[in-house]
Amino acid sequence: MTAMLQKKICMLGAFSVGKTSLVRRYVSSVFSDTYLTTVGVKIDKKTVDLDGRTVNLILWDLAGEDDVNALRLSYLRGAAGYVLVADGTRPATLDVALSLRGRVEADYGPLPFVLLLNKNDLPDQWTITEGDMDGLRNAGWWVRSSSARTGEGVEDAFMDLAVRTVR
Amino acid sequence: MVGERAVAWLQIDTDLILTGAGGRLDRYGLAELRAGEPVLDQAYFLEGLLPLEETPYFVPSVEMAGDVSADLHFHIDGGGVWLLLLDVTAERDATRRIQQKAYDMTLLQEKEVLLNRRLEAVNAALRETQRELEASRDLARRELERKHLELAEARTLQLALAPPPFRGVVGTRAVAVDVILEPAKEVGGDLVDHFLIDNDLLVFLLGDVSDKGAGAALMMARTHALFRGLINRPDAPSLFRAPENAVRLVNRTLSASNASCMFVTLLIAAFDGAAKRLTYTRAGHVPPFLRRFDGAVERLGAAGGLPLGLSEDAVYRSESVVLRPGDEVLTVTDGITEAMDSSQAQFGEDRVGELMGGGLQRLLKDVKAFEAGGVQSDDIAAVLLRIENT
Repeated sequence: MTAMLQKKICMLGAFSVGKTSLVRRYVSSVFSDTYLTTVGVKIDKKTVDLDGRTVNLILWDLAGEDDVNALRLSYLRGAAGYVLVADGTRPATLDVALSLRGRVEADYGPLPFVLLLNKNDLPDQWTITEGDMDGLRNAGWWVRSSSARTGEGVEDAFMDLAVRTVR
Repeated sequence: MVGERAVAWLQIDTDLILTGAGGRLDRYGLAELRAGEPVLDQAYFLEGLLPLEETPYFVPSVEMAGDVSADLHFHIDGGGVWLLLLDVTAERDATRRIQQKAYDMTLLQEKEVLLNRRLEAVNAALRETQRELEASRDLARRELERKHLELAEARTLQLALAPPPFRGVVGTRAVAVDVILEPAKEVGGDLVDHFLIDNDLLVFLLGDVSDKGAGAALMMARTHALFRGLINRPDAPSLFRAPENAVRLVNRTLSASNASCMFVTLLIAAFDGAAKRLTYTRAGHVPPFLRRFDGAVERLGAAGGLPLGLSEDAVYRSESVVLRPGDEVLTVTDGITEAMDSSQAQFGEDRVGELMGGGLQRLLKDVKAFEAGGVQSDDIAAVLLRIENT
């Protein structure tokens, strides 16, 4: 029997981009349209199998950053990786995600991360172009669009990040 | 105070083994903790936080089981770590209420900005479309005005082709010729003309092109020019004395290049003042009216051939009648005989015959009265030849 691993993964992003919804979709396969703001941090566990090895992903769903309340970076202590989340219908949230990445790297060094451009189930309101995404990919980022509502892109993102955290 | 905060504590050694726990563990879903076992296997929320690197270490507002939030206070003591959990659920809920309102308001404002931006974009697009439409409308208006001016000029030129009345002697007879020409549109396809050859041969002709408007006007002008072009030929007298010869020549030219397939019905007549005979060729046209000096009216209905423009090899012939003083010959286009009143009844050929003797202006006045202010549906033209009493 292989040893169980635990890896702490943090969810970062501006407020109301879908961090909590992505965790609920990934851990419990549920979605709710009701927006309930996160205060502090919520912690969930998802057990996955990575090539025969059981890994517990400890998901830290952090309160979103806004103009008044900056992200408490100390929450990232001991994190093996993080998920940056932006709302594809609110272009300013991508700027917040990019800024957060810079601050995390400054405090904790180059940790594995993925960037999710969430809410791709709203194509009429979508503002991020393929060109924008290609630009980030060309910089070496793992970037995908996702939807916590439909589940698209969610499983792949967490699994890819999990694989990179256990290497 | 301690009770309100539901204090719970954990003691963890340097090997991350739980060595002790107490207080309100149940509040945070930690009642089943087992001392002597790895703490990270039992309290996964501690993953990444241990081993501790600094003291004291504080992690605020961690949501535990049962929707309870706790502040985590870490202290290193004697190599091990003490962890205190203090219930901050009430503060969390208060913060959440304020934060929720603030975020909802901010999201609404963001949506409003976005909506306003979209509305402005739509307005800008509408304004641009309106500008384009106004520009197109102005261009179309200027183009229409230009075309109206051109058509008015063309009408003036076309009406100028109609000759003035003739009063004079042809051979030994005093003759009068009057014409009327009223296109239905700015320009039309009716043709009227008369001219004198060798002082004893008066030729008049009336034609009706099969279409209306600018195309018919051009065909009319061409036909007019072709007949006029025969006047200066040395054989002009013989061409017009037997008018089927003139018609044959003009028809051949018109038929040779008639891609639009327009045709011309024609009545051409030549009054020989010496022989006192009218020789005519009727190429598909309405038979002219002959009113004798005693008021009897007959039709000159001899067939002469096909309308012009249909067949290069069409054959034409003519017929002759003797004219005496007081006789009149009237030829009209179907714009007169087929003029309609409000009940769609036609003016008719019989009525034209009845009005002979009253002159062309009276005929025109009666046709207009018959149409009773309705839109003129076809070009109107007529030629009246009168042998005067001397």
